[in-house]
Amino acid sequence: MERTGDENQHLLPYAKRDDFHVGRATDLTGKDRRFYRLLEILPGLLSWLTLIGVLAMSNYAPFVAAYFIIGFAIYWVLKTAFLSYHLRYNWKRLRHHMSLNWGELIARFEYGHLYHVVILPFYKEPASVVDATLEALAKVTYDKQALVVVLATEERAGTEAEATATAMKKKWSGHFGKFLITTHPQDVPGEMAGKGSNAAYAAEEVRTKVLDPHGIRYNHTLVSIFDIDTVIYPDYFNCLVWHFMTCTEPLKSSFQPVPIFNNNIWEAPALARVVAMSSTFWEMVQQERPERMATFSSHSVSFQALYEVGYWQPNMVSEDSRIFWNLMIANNGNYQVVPLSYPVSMDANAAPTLWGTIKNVYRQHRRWTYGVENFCYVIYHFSKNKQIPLRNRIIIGFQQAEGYWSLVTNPIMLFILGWAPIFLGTVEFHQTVLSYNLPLMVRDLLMIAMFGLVISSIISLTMLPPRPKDKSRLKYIVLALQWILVPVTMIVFSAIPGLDAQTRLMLGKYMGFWVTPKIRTS
Amino acid sequence: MPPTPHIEPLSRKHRTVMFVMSILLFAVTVPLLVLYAIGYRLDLESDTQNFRTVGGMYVSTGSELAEIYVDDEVVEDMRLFQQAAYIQNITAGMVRVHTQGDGIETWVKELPVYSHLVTQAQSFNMPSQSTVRYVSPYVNDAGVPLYREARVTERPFVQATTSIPIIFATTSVATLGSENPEYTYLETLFASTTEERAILIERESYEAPDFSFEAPRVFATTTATTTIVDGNYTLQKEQGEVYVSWTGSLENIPHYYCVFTESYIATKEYYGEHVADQLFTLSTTTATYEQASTTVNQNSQLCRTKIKLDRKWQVVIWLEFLPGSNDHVLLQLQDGIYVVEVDDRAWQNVQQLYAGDYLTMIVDGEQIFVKDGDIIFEVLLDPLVVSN
Repeated sequence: MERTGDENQHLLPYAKRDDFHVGRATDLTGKDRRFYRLLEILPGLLSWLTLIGVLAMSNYAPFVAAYFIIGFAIYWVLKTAFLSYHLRYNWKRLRHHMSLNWGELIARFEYGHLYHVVILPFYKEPASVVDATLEALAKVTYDKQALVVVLATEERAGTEAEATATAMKKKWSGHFGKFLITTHPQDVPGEMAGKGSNAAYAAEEVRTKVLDPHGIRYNHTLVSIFDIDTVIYPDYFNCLVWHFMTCTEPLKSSFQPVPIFNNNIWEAPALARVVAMSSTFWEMVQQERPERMATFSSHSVSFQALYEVGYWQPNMVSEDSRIFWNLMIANNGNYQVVPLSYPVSMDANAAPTLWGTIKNVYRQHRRWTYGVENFCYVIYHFSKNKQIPLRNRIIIGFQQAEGYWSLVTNPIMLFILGWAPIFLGTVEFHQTVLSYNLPLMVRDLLMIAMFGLVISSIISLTMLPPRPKDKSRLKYIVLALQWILVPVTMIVFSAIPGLDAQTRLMLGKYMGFWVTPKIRTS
Repeated sequence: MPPTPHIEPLSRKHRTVMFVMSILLFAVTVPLLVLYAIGYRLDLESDTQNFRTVGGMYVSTGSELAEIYVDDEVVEDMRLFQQAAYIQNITAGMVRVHTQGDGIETWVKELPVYSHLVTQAQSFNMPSQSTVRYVSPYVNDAGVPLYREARVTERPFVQATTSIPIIFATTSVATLGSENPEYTYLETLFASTTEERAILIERESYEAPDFSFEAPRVFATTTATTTIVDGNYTLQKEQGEVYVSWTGSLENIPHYYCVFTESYIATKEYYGEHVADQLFTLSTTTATYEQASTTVNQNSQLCRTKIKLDRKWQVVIWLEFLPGSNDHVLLQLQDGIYVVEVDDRAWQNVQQLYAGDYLTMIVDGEQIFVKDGDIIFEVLLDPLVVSN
């Protein structure tokens, strides 16, 4: 079935399918619905089976479980070393990219025809947060007349948010070529209240109110969608243009900066800092293996590409990565993420109280890990779109499955279930040297793996913004030592919310979009 | 300014090489570490064998003062907070393990260690000098016990250390302090036990010396049976002997009820004749040793469910599990109170807690109280640590 109306003529052939923007199994019917539902069940089922399987194996076959755990601990050490190498390399590249004068680098290109639409989805965040974002935009070393800034507000956010938007327009509109406020209507049938639906609405508004009236070509327009707390560095657009001009297929590429969650890092509690930096580090690792990347959080893409797939999906949670899968599948696999290895600063998730921070970080990570809904989408469309090379489908499908499975199971298996045979094993097992050596060996291997944290600690210190005057120098010591919290944060803010999200999807208790509160004290 | 950034992204080739190297490392490391974990060691000194097999020993002590020695070498790597040590890399054979320390009795055992297996042992170390807490009828306002010195020619506890100071008064202590409710409570407790014990023990039966090799005398007590049940353990005095039986699931039977051996000879050699005699009987038809009818095969071991305690050839006046442990028993013998371990592999360690006759002992919760004449005191299980 295809959407064949005139309004869909701009879509790529595969994007015209009725099920192209499927959000969940209930959007489909018949066999497709059953297949999609099975895919929704699969990740949670696999994760639960793994965890229960390790427990059962510890009880009924403790020797096998012990061998498995030793093998798994070694795998973890090697994986840590492997990823730490990528991290360190990207850190070197990131620092190099930050030291470059990108304005000079792009001087050799003819890029005056390019326009930049900056979409800032905005809900009820404080004016100070929006102000800081716009101030950073106003300080870029790029021609600001080529910038179309869109403050994408929500009708459901109410009059206060509207007033903030108006005040921001009044203050900042003179700095940019265009400043547009869009108001996404509430309760649109078929939409989920969230960033995706808001951004899609804003993009269409830009098209009809700015691009078309001014005759700006879509393939000459780059869209940067930034979370409202994104503070960009002055050379961001220069760096983006350099990569746009030099990559093999600019219109078949998304451009991914490194989100550094450090705007409020000096105020955030240790748990929030570790979680935030860990997210940054994961993105840095991914920058060195772009074939495994999907877009995440703030990123840039050509308007042409977006228009060809009907913008962001308005009916699901993880719109930031889903748009990449939309583009990749609609382009029959001929689509890539280009890592910029250039930072944008964002807020670490922190609330006024520690408990509030814990709750917020948990919710945010549950939303992020609900990205497992993309696994269903990808596998479903891989089964439909035979134009994508089979090899790519197999590799990507496996990478996606392994990614979501390991996210949930690995920390729990390593830090908790690694000791299960000792508690659950048979008496015969407890009499053996293996039983006594297992915890010692796992402990020693984890200690070796912890050396990766030393690298993390050093790198994190180099990525800090200047120390506020009211913060003691001793805080650096705390910032270095905070990494010992990683085993806790991996379980509490990665594995458990991931399992929570997968279980919800498995049970058909679909999640909505939870907006992360942005609070800054300075 | 160079026309392009000069740090290129990690190349696919570079990453593939790293990935393959990681896989190779994984493939090599896993079997090596698994072999190590199950007890194989590379033996570079041997000309004939590249690998040797090892076993281990897990020794726990009940005392913070105890140090563990294996074949007379001190074990340095004690587990934090657990007062225990896992000793690795022991070549199969008999191992002598002992625990000792300042102010505590020494515990010694010889046990076999087998390849790939861990031999468990649990030591105990009572104070080498008895430590008591005097419970006086009267205490002063600060709670210090008062003792009227003029009543006896000698001060009490000359053989023991007292954990709290005592005020020795020459005048009536009643005028110096107030009644001690603990004493009143304990007096009542001792009074209620007297009658019960009188039935079991005839005084003359333990006043006579009892280390001759004459035919065993029949005491009044020998016809009586005392049984104390605590969880899955049953402490029983039967025909003058004391036994501790395991009545719980065989799956959870304590390690010292079982042995790894399969023959009478090996059991006798490694664990002692008394253990071998319990597990095997001489068949009258084949003249070979066979498993006794009471022996059970459990967890790849041979187990019995009943162990006889060493009573040092004396009459057992009273018995009770050691507070906090069913692996040890308090025996009141003719010349004092002893702690005996149930573990009879090799031999049973017996340590004196308090010397004396005409004692009455009771266990109240986690505390051991003794009445010696009309003096009541608590016997403590830890030595008194005197700070300088």
